[in-house]
Amino acid sequence: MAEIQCPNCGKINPEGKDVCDSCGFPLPSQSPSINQETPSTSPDATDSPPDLPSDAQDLTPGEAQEDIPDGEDEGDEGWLDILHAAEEGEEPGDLQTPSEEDEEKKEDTDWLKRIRALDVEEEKGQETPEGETFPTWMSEVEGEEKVEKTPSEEKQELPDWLQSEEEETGEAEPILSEKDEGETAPPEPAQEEEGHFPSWLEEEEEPSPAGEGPIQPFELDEDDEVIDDLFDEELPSWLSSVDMEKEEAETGDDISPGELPGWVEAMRPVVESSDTSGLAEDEEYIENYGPLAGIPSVLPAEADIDQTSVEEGSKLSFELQVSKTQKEYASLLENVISREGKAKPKGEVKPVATQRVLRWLIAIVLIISVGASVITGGGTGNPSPAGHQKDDPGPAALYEMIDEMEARDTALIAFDYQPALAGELNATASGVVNHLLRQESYLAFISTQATGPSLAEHFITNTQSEFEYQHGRDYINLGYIPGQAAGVLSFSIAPREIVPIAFNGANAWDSPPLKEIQTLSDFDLFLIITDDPTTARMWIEQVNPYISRYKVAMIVSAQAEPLVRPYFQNSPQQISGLAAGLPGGWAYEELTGSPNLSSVFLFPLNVGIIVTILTVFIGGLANGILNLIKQRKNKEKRGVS
Amino acid sequence: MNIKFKTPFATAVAIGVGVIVLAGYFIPGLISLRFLFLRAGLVLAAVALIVGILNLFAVHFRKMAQNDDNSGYSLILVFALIATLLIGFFDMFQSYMFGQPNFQTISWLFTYIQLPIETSLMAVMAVSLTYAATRFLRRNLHTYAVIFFFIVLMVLIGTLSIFTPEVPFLSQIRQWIVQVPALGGARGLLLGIALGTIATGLRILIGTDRPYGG
Repeated sequence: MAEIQCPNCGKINPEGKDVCDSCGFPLPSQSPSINQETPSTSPDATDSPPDLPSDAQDLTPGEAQEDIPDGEDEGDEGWLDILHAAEEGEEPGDLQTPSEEDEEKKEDTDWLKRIRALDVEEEKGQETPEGETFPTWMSEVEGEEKVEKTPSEEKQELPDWLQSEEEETGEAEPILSEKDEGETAPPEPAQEEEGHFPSWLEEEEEPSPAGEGPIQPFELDEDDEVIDDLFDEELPSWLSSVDMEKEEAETGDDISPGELPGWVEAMRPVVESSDTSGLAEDEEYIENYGPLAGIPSVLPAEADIDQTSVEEGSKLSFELQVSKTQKEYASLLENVISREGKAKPKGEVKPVATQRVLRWLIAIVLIISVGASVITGGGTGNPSPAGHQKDDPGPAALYEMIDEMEARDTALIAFDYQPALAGELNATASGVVNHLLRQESYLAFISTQATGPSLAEHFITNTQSEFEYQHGRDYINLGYIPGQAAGVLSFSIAPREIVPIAFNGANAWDSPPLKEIQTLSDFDLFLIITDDPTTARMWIEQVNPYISRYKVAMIVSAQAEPLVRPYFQNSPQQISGLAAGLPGGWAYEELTGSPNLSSVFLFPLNVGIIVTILTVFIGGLANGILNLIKQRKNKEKRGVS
Repeated sequence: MNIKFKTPFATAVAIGVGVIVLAGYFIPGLISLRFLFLRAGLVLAAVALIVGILNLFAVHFRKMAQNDDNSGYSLILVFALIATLLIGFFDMFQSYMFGQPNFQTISWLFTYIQLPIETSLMAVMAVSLTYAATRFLRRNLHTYAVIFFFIVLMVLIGTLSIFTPEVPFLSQIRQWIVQVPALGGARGLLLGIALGTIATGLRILIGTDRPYGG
């Protein structure tokens, strides 16, 4: 199979390739004549450089330059010669057949030639032209298909160079045969040593004349300076020995940059544009310079800039032209931005005198009216509650629950309200707890708020002092349960484990009120006093599974009533009794027949509500009218303006 | 503890405890385990209360040290905290060791200091609300403001216990306002809160929400 050696990098490429696989350099087309040509071994070859084939030597320098890529090994030698000529300051186009003096100058490249000669020899030995049978020396290893030929016939079929070699040595055929046999069987070292190179190759082997000794395998000579140069990081000796100054002096500025190979020059269009200024309106731009010279429709490297406009632009002033109005806007913006970084002093806001007076006036009116009603004793039981408050079933249901309790039954009371609402809830709950104490019930207090135990103590001490209930004997304060809903749930599951000791540190469950209590359901009544609907819901949700709903009742403030009342009004009920606010407490006291705090506070409450209604109504009406007048004045001002 | 270990560990504990407590409502065998976790939760809540008190003390003590404009209030708070704590320990000692009645000194502080202060604040709020109601139409004079103003008056009138028997429809109007629109709105809020609570619980159970860190 014929192969093509790249003239640029020397890479062997298979036949049919147009460009080199390694470097992409265009490969020369391989003509049959080139495939058939063989290195000349004629005596004339000594006059010509041994690196060039004979037909190449016959070419003129110009032709040689064009035909350089056509050869295989010749191509390599051609570009080497070009390089060599360049070193000597010659143009590649002036390539001439090297003389003997040139050969002496090329001593530095002999090492490359020797390596290439070996490669060429191996390639030639394996090369087979297309459409032809193997050469005779190859066909001998074909075995049975081989046709026995006479030595004269075989000699005629051998290439010329091989025939001449055979004439000189007479051992070429055996050597080659043995070499070919070596491809199928391992060659014996003795036979390899007896091999000889052809005469044209042995001419290169000066130290070992042809036929005088065996062909030694190519080995790197460690002492060889040229080989050392190959593996040295520095420049090779032949390159470093070049006197750069001298070379520069010889070459000067004659080196033309970007010289193109001949085949590229041949491809380039010869048409040149006369227009050197760039694109014309009706004409296509034709490149004048460089590798693309003569090719039309090429984007010009020079920008389409009018030089006159550029010169005028460079003379323009960069001073900003602004109008007077724009300058005012800019200064205004600058002032606004500069103010942002400064702290604005905060002036003292003086309260409007009328507002302060109005505030004090309202406070004084409320205090006097409510205080007077309390001092005058408002009339315990004097006011008659509204019909819906009289008919409220909550207090009545709660009354029935307590009334059914027997002596020494235990009621658990949760004090879960804020001290701020103690005035309302203490009054509301006083009548209910009073009823419990009159029933001689045991009491147990619990709370989920930190102030709950103190509220319970305050309540029992200040509102029910007549009964002289004592802690640990008649009632027990279980203190505070942390954890909100989790605490309530835990207490509902196992009250003895969650609250083992009382508020005073004593064992709560050994006291008479809790001695018989084991679970939450053992309490006879669970009364929750709260001002918060969320707290009420929490208790209802957590204790309902552990105590009968018929034992749960609530006392809530008026603000929590709307959200708690559905627990009582729904069916089934989740609480069985409810007293909401002072009216609820008053209604309960009406049922018990013993007026208490609710009855005392109900009249002052009503007085306070009446004063509040009047104040809000009068004040609101006056302010609304003032606002209306102000709005009309503003509208009139807008209409005038 | 390494943070990389802490995060998944805390998540696993939170999810595991939550699932067990939730399952304790439906699986009788888990009731005892649920109760155990609940008791542990109560102890942690009590400890958290103590930690909160210590943090409050530290914050105001730091403000005192900085001597800023409000350091005087911090001084009062720290002094009151320490005094109440000492009195509480003294009462606890008296009650536990000598069996004296329940925390008489602390009860005195509560009855004559805390209770009047909080009740007075509520009274001041009543005056402020009354004043705000009178000024309401001064700033807002539009349809909804007027409606709101008269609804407030109607509810106040309906709350009266003295004059409503002669004018029964006033109490009925108040009942309708309280039981229908007001309760409906409040119930709507509660339902929204309940749904939000369920969603938050589920997020914690599946580990999407990790308020404990990570």
